[in-house]
Amino acid sequence: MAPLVAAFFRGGVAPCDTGPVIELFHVGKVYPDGERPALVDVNLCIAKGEFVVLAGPSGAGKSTLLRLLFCAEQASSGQVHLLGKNLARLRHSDVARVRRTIGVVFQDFKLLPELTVFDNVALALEVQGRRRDDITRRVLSVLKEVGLAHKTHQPATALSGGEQQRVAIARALVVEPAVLLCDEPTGNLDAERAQEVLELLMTAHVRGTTVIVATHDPALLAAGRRRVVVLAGGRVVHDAPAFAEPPSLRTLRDGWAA
Amino acid sequence: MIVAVSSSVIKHGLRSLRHGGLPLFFAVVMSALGLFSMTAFGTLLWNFRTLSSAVSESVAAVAFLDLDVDGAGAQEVRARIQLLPGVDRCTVMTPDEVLVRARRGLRGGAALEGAGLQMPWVVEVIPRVTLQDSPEARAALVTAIGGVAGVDEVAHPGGELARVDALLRLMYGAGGFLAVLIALVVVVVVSNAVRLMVLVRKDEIAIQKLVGASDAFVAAPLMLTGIAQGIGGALLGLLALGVAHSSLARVVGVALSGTMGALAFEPLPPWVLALVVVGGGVLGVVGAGLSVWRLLREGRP
Repeated sequence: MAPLVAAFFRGGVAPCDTGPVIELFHVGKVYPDGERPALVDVNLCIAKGEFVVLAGPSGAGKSTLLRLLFCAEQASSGQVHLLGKNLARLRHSDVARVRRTIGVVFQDFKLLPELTVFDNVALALEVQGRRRDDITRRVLSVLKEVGLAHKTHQPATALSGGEQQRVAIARALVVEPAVLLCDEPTGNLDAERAQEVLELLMTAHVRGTTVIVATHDPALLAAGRRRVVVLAGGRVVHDAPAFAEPPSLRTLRDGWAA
Repeated sequence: MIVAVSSSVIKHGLRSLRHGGLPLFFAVVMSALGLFSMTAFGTLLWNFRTLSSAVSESVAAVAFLDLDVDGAGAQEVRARIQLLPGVDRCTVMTPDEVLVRARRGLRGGAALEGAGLQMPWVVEVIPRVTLQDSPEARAALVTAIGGVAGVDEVAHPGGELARVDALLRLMYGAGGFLAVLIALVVVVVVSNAVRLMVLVRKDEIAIQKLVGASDAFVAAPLMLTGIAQGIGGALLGLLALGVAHSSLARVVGVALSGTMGALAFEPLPPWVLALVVVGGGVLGVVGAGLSVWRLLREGRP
């Protein structure tokens, strides 16, 4: 029996109708110095083009889940499949290749302060060995999309928090990723800037990118009907598809309290 | 693609050098000091080798003739010695010339004054250059000269030559040890400087890997800084050597010219200098390689 089917019959995985981009089978993660497991028996299937919000309190395992997906950590148990590849079986040299197919956005932006906006975004293409003229064309195009065309040659540190996050999103999108992973992308921003960031993520989603956002920002949870996966204590406690009602306050409260 | 990656690597490498700060400066200065010491010793060794070669080539075997041999007899003995294999040239010295040489050798020769010594005629024999390198051939020639009729005694400073040879070998050994020691020091210093660079650029490296940089992309700029440190240190060391040599060459040259004729304090030949620069680069690569290997071994960021 295929792992996906087996997991489905255990009731842990929502079926993927349009072909899975991400599949987690009974994934557990224990940090060497952790008091309790960061993830426990997590089963998840995310289809191509989905917009998934990972919700849950601090320490619920949202960031750990994302770290597994961009190969910063390895699962202690179970399997993580990304774009059809079992991440546990990746050779060291293949990790870089997988990362080039995904974009990652962090709460603290992770920009290089001494580089300009252009160079920060160009870095994602430089590591792929793209031609200079191709890099210039694509970087300018994506900076225009995120509304930073006029700040191309400014140092990243000269920008506001919202602008820095838009640079980080531009860096993630410039490689035209199949999957965009966002870890608390609006955590450091006020409501207005958070809305701008959310709109950029929605634009990427509309173009077909699979977007996964880990957040406890109520605005992100409330904005529109999208799939919400609630984690608590490292477990999935709620997984509702996009067409379903958003998780109830009780579910969220229980998750937070777990 | 190679051109694109190379330009990125050079760009990031130059940025690493710009942000290298004190560790980079320290590494270059330490490398320069080490390579200066090595090349300074090399220069001394090179000149000592030239000097010892010149000395051994000019050292003659001296055949003291019987006291009853006169000038004509001395010329006959000279002609017979000249026919011996391994002899380059012979010259006859009169008893008066021998006395002058003996006085000079005894620093004034006060002991010879008024002693009424009768000095013999002497034939000075310069062996062929090839004989200088072989103690056995030298000894055989001395025996052959001693066997010529009219020769009373043969003196040859083979012991001194052997001592010079031994000293030269000792210097080669010390030079080799010094070279290995300095190479290790340069490797450790460069390795630590690159390690500090890695720590300073930890976040940048993590971000590079996050966006899909390969190990080679991360390592290449660091290797480039290692090469730059090694070559920079070598060039700085050679500059210091040049300054030291130009300051000392005239003084040493004057000192040598009094005793050794046309000998001068020569600089190292260009091919050795080029080798030092290349060697500096290689040591830089090894040092940087150690740190990069440790960085990559630590695994995923």
